[in-house]
Amino acid sequence: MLSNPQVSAFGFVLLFIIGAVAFALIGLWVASFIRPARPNPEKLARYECGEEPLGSTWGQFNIRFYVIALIFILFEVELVLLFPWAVVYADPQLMALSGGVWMRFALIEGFVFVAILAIGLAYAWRNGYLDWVKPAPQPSDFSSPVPTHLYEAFNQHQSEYTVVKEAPPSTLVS
Amino acid sequence: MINLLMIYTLMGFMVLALWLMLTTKKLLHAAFGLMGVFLLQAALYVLLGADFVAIAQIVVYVGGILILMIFGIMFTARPQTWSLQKAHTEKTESNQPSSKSHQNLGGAILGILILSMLIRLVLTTPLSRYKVIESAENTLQNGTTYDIGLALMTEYLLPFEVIALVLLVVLVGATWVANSKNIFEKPKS
Repeated sequence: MLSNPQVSAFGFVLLFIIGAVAFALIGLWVASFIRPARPNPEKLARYECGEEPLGSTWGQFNIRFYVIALIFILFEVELVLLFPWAVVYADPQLMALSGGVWMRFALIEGFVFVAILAIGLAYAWRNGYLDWVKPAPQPSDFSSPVPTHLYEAFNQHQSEYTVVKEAPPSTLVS
Repeated sequence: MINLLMIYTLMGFMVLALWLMLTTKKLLHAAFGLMGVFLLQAALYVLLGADFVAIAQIVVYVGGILILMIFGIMFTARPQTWSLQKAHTEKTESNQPSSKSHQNLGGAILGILILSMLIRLVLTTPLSRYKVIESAENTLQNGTTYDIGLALMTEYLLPFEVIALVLLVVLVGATWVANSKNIFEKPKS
């Protein structure tokens, strides 16, 4: 039917896409017939991984994700360009043509390509752009009228108590 | 014939996704419309025999740039009732009443300029001069990745390494700009 072999090769990909979508949709569709529909506020609440959901779902994300995503995209572009390199690297036909020089040449070129971007990663790392922003603990400006040595004396006094053996139940009742 | 029919069908879906992207009131829905456009574009590349470009399209655009855009939407906290249209009308009402039509005129002129540029580019490109298109039958048999790899390692070796340098510059610049300390705080002299 299709004269283009490229398209028929990608036809398998298309089959996988259709299969994945159909698998999810048919499962949900069949389940809609047999499942009970009794919603309550608990069930309709937003999902929050074991916690009570607080506030709006449109909370602000940490801006630090943005730098990570930027670095990710650049390394992704590098990865895409390394694919054709990996296909021709150590290709037996080219190796035979060049007498084994091809592999060393391609290896060096690949390393240079990766090393140049590694400098960029080192730069970002060195300047702390990869560090996560931690909330700075704010020291309280509350000043207690009780002097600290009294607290220390109290703690000392508390630590002198020793755990006695559990009293027999009869004494507790009386 | 069937190939051509599929291409036009994909283009129709692409126009639909673009329409959704441009007319929706929710910013996140616009991002999903853009995702549809990117995916259909990848399918178009497959039909045109450019398999490597199709994979790169999915990996870089759908997997990277779109995620960055959605991140950008998530960074800017806004109430649930916020919509693009409301923000637009609020903005235009606070400015001069005629600024909306000015923006539309500017956008239309820019769009027509870019469109005419693209049409001119398509019409004036000497397609027969490109080896890749001449040997299309061969590349369709084996895919284009091998040929691209061979070209990158031999004829286009310098551009290949220059790409790494350009990526390095972008990495340094983008992380510097994205680090708000460099912009909002004065440098210590």
